[in-house]
Amino acid sequence: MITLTNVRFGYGKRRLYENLNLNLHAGHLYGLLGQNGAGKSSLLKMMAGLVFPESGQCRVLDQEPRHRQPSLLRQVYFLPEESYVPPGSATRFMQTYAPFYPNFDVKLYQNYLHTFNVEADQAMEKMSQGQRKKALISFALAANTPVLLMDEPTNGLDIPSKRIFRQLVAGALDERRVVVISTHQVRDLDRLIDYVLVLHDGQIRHAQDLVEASGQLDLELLFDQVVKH
Amino acid sequence: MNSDIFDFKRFGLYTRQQFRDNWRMYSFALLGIMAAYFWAFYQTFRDYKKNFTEHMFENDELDFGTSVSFLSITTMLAFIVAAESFKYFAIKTQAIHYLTLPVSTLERFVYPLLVLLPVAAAISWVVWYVGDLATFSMLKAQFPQINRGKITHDENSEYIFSVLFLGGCLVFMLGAVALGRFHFFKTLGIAIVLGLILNWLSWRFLSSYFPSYEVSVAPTMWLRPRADFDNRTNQLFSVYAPNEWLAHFWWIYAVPVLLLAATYLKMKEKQV
Repeated sequence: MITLTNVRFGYGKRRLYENLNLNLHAGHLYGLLGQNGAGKSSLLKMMAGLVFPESGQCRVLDQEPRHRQPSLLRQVYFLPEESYVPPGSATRFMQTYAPFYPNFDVKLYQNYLHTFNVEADQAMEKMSQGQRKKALISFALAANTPVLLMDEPTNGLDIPSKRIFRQLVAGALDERRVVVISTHQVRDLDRLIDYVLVLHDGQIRHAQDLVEASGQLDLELLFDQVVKH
Repeated sequence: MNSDIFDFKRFGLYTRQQFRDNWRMYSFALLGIMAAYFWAFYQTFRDYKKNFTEHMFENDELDFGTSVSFLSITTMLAFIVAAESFKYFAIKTQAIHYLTLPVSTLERFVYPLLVLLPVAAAISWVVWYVGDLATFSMLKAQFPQINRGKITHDENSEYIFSVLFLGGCLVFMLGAVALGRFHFFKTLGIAIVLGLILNWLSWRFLSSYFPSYEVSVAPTMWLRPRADFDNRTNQLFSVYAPNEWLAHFWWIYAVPVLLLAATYLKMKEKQV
C-alpha cells in the first residue's frame, strides 16, 4: 500500500534520509518510533504529499502523493501533530469536510465523539487542546480512508483519553486499511500496534511484526536498545 | 469525482467549504467595503456641497461623478481579496489542513478567479451604485442645478488601470503563495521598489540618450513608454515609443500569463 524506494530527503543541508526503503501493507497498524527530530513527521508528510523526496520514490496506493491528486487524497487522511480548526462546531466540521471522503461514516463519528466525551455542538476553537484533538481523531477514524496517518496523536490527551484512543484505533483497523502512528511517547502505543518501525539516523533501524514476536515486547526497552546502538 | 484535474461537484464542495470556513473574514470584508464606500461618498457629498455653496454664482451647473472613487476602492479591495484568498499558504497548520483536502491544484487556483474576485466586484459595484444614487439624490434635493456628469473615456488611464488591476491581483496571489507571513506588505514593498527601479532605469536611459534635454518620466512610464522632453527653452514635447503595441502585449497578455503560470506552479510544488 505504501512503498518508499531509495528515498533521499532533507531540509537544506540537513539530511534526514538517505536511501530509505520501506514497505507498508494493508491490515496493519504500524507504530513509527523515533527520537525528536528523527524525521517521523516528515515521513508521514511525504506519504500525505506535503513534502517531496529529493530522489527515490514514494508511492501510496500506486500513486505518487507529491502530485496531490484528489483521487489519492480522498483515500488518505493525515492528522498532524498541530492541527488547524476552522470556526464552528464538530458537527459543522463534519458537515463541511465529510463530503470529501466517500466512505465517511456519520454514525461512527457521532459514536466516537460520544465515547471521547466531546460535545458535538461546542465551537472547536473554544475547546481545550485535548478536546479538539479528540474531535479530530474522531473525524480521522470515521473518514474510513484506506490510509490513515497520525502524527503524535496522543499529545495533549489525558490518561483515560489515551486508553479510549487505543480502543478506538484498534477497533477501526480492518484488512483493507493501513494505519501509521508516529510518536516519541513509546508507552502510548503499548498493546496497540502490531508492527513496530524505529527510525534512527535516517534509516529504519528496526522493523518487527509484533504478532509474530513471542510474548509481549517491551517497546520502550526495544526503542532504547535500537537508539543506543 | 472522476477527474483529477477539475470536477464541478468537487469545486462546488470546495467553494462551500471556503465560504463556511471564511465567513467571518468575508463578513468583515463586506463591512470594510461598505465603510470604505460610505467614507468615500461622505467626502464626495461634503466636497460637492462646499464647491456648490462657494461657487454657485459663478457656475450655475455642476457635473457629478464618482467613478474614480469606485475604481480606486475596488482596486485596493481586489488586491486584498487576491492576497487573502491564498493566505493559508502562509500559515503552516492551515497549509497542511488545506493541502491535504481532496481537491486539485487547479480547483484551488481558480477559486479566487472564478468565485471570490467576481463576487467581491459584484458586491462592490452594488454598494457603489446605491451609494452613488443616494449621494446624487441628496445633492439634487439641495441643489437642483446639479447634473449627472458624462463619463469620459481616457484611453491612457483605462489602459494603466487595467494593467494595474489585473497585474496587481495576480502579483498579490503569487505573493500569498510564495512569501509566507506578512505576504501582503512584503508584496506591496517589492512591487513599489521594483516600480521605482524601473522608473529610474527608464529615466536614466533616456537622459543619457538625449543629453541636451531635461527628461521627465511619468510614474507609470514603464507601463506605457512615454516621456516628456524639455530643451531648457520651455519647448516642451512628449514622445511615445514607436512600438507601443509591444508594451501593450507585454503588460496585458504576457505578464498576466507568466504570473498565472508562476502562481499555479508554486502552488503545485508547495511543500509544508
